[in-house]
Amino acid sequence: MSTKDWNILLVDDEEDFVSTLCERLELRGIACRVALDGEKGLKAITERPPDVVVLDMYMPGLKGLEVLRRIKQEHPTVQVIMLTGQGATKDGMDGMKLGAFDYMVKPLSIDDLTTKLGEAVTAARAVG
Amino acid sequence: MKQANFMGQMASALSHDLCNVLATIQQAAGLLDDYLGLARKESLKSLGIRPQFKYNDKFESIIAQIRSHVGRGQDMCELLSRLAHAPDENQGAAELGAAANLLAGLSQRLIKRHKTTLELTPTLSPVRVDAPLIEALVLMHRSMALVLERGSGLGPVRLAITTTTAGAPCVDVTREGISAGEAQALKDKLDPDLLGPVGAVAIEGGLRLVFDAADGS
Repeated sequence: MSTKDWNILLVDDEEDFVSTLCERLELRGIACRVALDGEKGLKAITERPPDVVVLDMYMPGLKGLEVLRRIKQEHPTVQVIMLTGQGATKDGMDGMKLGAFDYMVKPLSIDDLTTKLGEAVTAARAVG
Repeated sequence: MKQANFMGQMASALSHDLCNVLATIQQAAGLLDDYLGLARKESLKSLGIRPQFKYNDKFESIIAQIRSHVGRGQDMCELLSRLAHAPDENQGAAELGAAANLLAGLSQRLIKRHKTTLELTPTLSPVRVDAPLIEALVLMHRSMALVLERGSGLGPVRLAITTTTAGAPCVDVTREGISAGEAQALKDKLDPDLLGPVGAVAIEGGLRLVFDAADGS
């Protein structure tokens, strides 16, 4: 599957991290957008639903799990990959119980993320 | 315990922020590498008309160095996070193998400072004891510090989870070269208030901490 028609949304309040990650994905031909908190993320999804949302668990304002719950309620075909910190795998598992496609631990490798995105896009297209 | 919980919460918040800092540095180094790769491709396309970026190799080695330190920071971050969660984890039922593992990671600097190494004997199955994780960690760390105080020129420090002849779970903190008399002196230095219900025995090479097995184990 070509990465060219993937539609990814990154939601994280760490602006430098998320903008750099987005630029790296774009260099690999993957279209992505950035939202810097949960509210903006939900708004961006409503405006144009992505295939996959990469969602940080810990953000000011709406927490990751709450954003996930709303995404799965309002846009069930959108797949969500949660980002957790080291030693917080329990939070990632909680996300999966709420319907997240998977979780990844920060810092993460771009190759691992791209592979996981591919799997999530396939899943999104299968249910969409 | 309230103080330990407070410290845990603060350390957990710091660990989270540290992870974000590392993640940003890692992606920035990755982006630099991506552009270096693009520059290499451009250079090839021009078939030598445009010279290769002069400092390509230097940049590659700097990026590799950044990545290696991000990996190191990542390990520290994980240890910090595990330590931060220690006060509220396994209340009253620490798993000795996990505690010894965590202590081994956290003590790397202490061990290095004493110019020695740490050998950890892995446990075959979980050993749960009737003590909170944070207490087991404090006691094991204090025992290790005492064994290290004995000075340099001795063998490596050994951490082993074992059982007494009566079947009680215990941790042996030993170092080759410590005599029985010296071990007794180390044992006397262990604060009884710190030990609480945990027993301490001087053994060949160091100290043995004897725990009560957790209910159901």
